[in-house]
Amino acid sequence: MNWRFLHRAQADAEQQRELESYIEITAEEYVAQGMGADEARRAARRKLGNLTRIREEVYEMNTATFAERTLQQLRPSIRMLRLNPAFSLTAVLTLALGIGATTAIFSVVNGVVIKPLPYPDSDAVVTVTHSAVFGNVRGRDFPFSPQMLAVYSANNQTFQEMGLWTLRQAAVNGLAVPESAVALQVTQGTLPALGVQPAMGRWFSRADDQPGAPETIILTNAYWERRFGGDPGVIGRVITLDSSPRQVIGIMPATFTLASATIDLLLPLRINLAQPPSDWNYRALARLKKGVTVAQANADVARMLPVYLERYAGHRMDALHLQPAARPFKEDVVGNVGQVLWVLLGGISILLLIACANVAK
Amino acid sequence: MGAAHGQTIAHAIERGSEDVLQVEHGSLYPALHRLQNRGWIVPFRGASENNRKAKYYRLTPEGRKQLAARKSRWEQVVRAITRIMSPAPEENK
Repeated sequence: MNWRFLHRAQADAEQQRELESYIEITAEEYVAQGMGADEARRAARRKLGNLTRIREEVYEMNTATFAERTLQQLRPSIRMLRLNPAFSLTAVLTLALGIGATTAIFSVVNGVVIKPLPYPDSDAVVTVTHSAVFGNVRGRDFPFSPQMLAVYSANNQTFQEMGLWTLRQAAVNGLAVPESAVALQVTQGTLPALGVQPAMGRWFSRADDQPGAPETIILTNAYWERRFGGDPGVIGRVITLDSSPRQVIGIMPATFTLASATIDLLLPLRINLAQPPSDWNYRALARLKKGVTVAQANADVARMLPVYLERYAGHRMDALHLQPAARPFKEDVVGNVGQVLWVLLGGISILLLIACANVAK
Repeated sequence: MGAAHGQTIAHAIERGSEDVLQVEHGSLYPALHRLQNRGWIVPFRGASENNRKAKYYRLTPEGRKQLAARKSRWEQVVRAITRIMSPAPEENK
């Protein structure tokens, strides 16, 4: 390989120094012969000729030889490929398969593991949950109840926002054709915890949760496009869901997802603490305060858990041996797939290496 | 042939040819560069007679071999041309 090509600029600077030194030395000789300093320098420059042309010539030399030599080195390979088509085909196929497989797996790894969730600062979003003992087995996802949220959101020191969510089917029956839709029910804190603003309109607010306030609904971008043709006038309109009217207050951005679910509608989840405390139908997520780690969040939960148990459970839940098990929300989406994918990518990369080695031989 | 910097070489050519080869000295430098690329000469830093920093060149062993080869080839050519230009009288009768 000819590395001169990469050092052209440096070589040019050196060439300029060399020419400069010619002028100085020659001018000195002329001065020794009795010439004035300025005149001597002019004469030396004249003797040397066109500086720029000289530098250009050397520069082009370095450029041209690079291209020529590369071509020279390639020529035997090209001839070989043409003379031995069976080998060429095998080599090309092996490399194509190796490169193709690596690229395919990498795009999956990139999409699933490397790219963060579509929420701002998504590493701060955690699933708040507990592990619990059923029989002899400790399961990791004991669900949340509204009472638990009430205790935790009032007493925590590590969460910036916290909310519950659940998915359910809902019937949209105010439109031309009744249809079933997937509704994401969230408490007020859930969307702020994810940090996703509606593309139009607003989040659910505390006022929406007051008894007697009109029922509200937010549409996902996909549902809005599908059922309302992307009409911005839909905000403020009333649609009927499960036979009760709801006012559309916002449209989510197209990028919004939660736990890979296909969601049509978002409904507010009103919390009524007067209900029996056995409504274990929700999952909780939170946005950690700046600089807080998952371990610190778990320590915080460990502190609050007895508060909840004392207020709402007494000894009824002792057998469950609840323990804090908050984790990055990303794990809910990616799960163990992450590790498997890395291993797969590693394996495929080795395959590509072997393919390269074989072809190089 | 010892080491020399560009200016010395240029003047040596001019004087050695009894001022017949009066070229712009600048055209020497691309030639030096080409010789260097072929590995026939190597540059090194040195100081001129007046203690100025200058880039000196030295023949490599390969360069010396090339010089000998080219010199004898050149002499052949010169001899051939001389013969053509001043033909022997007996062949041209």
